[in-house]
Amino acid sequence: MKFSHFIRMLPIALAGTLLLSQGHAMVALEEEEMSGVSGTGLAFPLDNFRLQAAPTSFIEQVGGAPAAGISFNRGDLRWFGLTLSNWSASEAAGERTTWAGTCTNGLNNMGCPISTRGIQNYANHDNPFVLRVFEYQRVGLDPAATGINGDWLGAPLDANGVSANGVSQTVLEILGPSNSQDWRWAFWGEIQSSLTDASGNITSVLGTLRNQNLIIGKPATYIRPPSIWGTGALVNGFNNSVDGAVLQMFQYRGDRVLGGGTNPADRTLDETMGLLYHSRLSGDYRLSVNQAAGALDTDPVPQFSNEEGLYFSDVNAYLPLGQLFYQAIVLDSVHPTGGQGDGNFIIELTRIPNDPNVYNDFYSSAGASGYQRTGRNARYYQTHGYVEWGTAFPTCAGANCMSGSGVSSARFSSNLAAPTSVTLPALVVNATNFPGSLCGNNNNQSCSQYAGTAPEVTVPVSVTVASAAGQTTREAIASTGGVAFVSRDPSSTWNVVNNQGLASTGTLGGNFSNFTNLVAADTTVRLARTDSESCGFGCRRLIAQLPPDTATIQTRANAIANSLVTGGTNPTIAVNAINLGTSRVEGLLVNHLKITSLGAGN
Amino acid sequence: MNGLLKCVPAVMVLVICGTVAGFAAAEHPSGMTALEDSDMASVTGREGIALDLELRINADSNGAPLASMGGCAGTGNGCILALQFANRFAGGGEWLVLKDFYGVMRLNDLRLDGSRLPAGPSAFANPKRFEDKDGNCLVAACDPSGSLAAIFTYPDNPGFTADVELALNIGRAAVQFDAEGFLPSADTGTSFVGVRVGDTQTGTARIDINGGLQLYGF
Repeated sequence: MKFSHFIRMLPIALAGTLLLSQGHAMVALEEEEMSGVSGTGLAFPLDNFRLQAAPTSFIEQVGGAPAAGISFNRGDLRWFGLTLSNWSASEAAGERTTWAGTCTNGLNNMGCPISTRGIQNYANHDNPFVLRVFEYQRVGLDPAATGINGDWLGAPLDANGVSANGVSQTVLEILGPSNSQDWRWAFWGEIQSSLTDASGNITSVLGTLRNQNLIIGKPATYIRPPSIWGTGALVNGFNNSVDGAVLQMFQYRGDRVLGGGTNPADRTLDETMGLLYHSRLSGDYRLSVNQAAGALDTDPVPQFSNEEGLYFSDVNAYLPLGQLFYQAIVLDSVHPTGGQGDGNFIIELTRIPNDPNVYNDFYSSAGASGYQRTGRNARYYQTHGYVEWGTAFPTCAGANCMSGSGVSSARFSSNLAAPTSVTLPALVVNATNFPGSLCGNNNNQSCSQYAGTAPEVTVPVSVTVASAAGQTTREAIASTGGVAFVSRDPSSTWNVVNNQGLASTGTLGGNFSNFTNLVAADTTVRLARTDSESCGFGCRRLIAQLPPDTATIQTRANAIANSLVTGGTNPTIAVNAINLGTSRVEGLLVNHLKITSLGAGN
Repeated sequence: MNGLLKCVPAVMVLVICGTVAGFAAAEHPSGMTALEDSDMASVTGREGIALDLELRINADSNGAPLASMGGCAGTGNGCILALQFANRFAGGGEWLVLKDFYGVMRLNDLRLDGSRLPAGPSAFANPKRFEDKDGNCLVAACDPSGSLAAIFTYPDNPGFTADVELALNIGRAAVQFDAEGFLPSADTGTSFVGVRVGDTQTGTARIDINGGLQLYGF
């Protein structure tokens, strides 16, 4: 039996051998079950899977002595307690937890980084991780080429993903699930800054910043930008669907500049291991650093507060790094041409070859005069990535606009200490408490007599800051979509000028200490608490109105409260949550990317 | 193990210098005894397989570096893992050398059993996953529901269970040159990165895994 065939048959053989039928004898595999195995791929479904590293278990990037002549200190980065767990909108509060203790659901359901349940509906049995060897015919270097400047063969991909006259190569690939339920992915981190001796050993720790990271989402997203192409319904003849991440490994053949340099004279034909990764992510992300009151950085496990943080919500991102077979992630080292280097290392997404067959496929704008907003082919959306933070983008009616549904009106949450209700105490109806001409049919005549007691009355009050529209709740800010920042609690604020382009006209605020007395002394309010009746010829008696006219009292209370607000037309606002807006990147191409380490050259 | 691998595969060469030890099935504290016929008769294999694995590289059972390897510290120590990638032969050979390399990995009570996939399609079914490049289904109706599958699980005990334990130290990393550039004698002390996996309380990182990883072919 060939080894490859043995590997392909192994899972079925294992399952058949081990199949446990509780209380029954084992059943032999039927021929038709065996005949269903073609040996093309291995599938890895997850069944109620949950992974949790201990809260004190970490992966660390170990720092070292900073290079001479720079102002940096040693930095050590640690990632603790990596957890993959379930998320569901209908989950019970008791399923939510943290590394150190309890939590509340917080804002945008992101107060708790961990669920006690396994992930439901991720890598299902009929949409699993797939490991397989597959053959693709794509634009590639002429197999006969033995040196630089070889021909790149192949036409842009057709609807079946095949490049006519292209190069066929075998690829080892791992396909992620193309769609799933959202789930939690969380860890807490630590950035430690230290002083060192000449050998890099820590002599004193300057400080530590602890942080909490939570994603509720999935490694899958829409094939095309959803703000333009929708989320499933037919838009301009295209039904936008979701796809997952892909990792491929293949033999890369292309030009290489020796030694990690840039001199074209140093080019040579390269044949090496190439990697390709098409990343797809969607969901919400929260980064927070505030710890619960009394926490110390020396605590083994931190307890973070439930609401503070930077929120990225309704994110959709597709980032293609590499294209079969003309662009790949390759590994290299720094060295002079043909010589020995200083020990540094290179990870490079290779440069796009300067060849029409390559860039006709890569740019996918053939037949058009440069990039166009409309009429792009399907291949364009495979080679071009996009990132969207939020879903609410400006509307645009122009022919060459990116479409949008309009921006959110939720701008900030403020802790303006305004009253939310007012209670007027019971008040004896007499000339002192109800002065003025409140009697008669038109309530403009003096009163002869007074009787009764106006009862206590409570009405709600709403202060709307007209000069700074967009005030809403912290929850609305965190969940509105896009990028938002929320303080640790409502009383923790920072100042922002309402319109950054204009000078501030004062600080948004107001003195509400005498608010109740002002409402009680308002003539309209007094009339709403009393009635006038006749007590004989020329006699007018003021009595308590039962019940009082609360609608009128509320209207006046709102008006009086808002008249007490100060700050002018463009106030500086003490905010405790702010919507930083939405953002999107479309048509994202990475033509060349090279990361070179420097540490070994110190 | 201080021997050198002299093969040159197409994609990557891997060299480990140091010591590798500690592969063990579930240990039994007492001596071995012969199985009775009646015991043998009850062995069917239907209860699956439990596997304990402990892999140590230049480390003792606590994950600490071996004193016999000089504590895997200092320039030129013998604790390395070296990688070479295809067509990277400048300067006689380019080796990505992970230095001060030691660690331990334990899989505690990993269960391998048989299972069947759910009988019907899920809400996220993707039939295209089971097509060949010509669009032909490789399983009936491109739906593997109800098929046999192996399943890997850990015991789902209440609370936190250290199903996987892991400690790893890569103190330094650098590219070294020459045909035998991976040797400790080529270490100049330079490094561009260091990585460590551990636990601030127990030394060895612990991971609790629940649920199952299934495996089937098509």
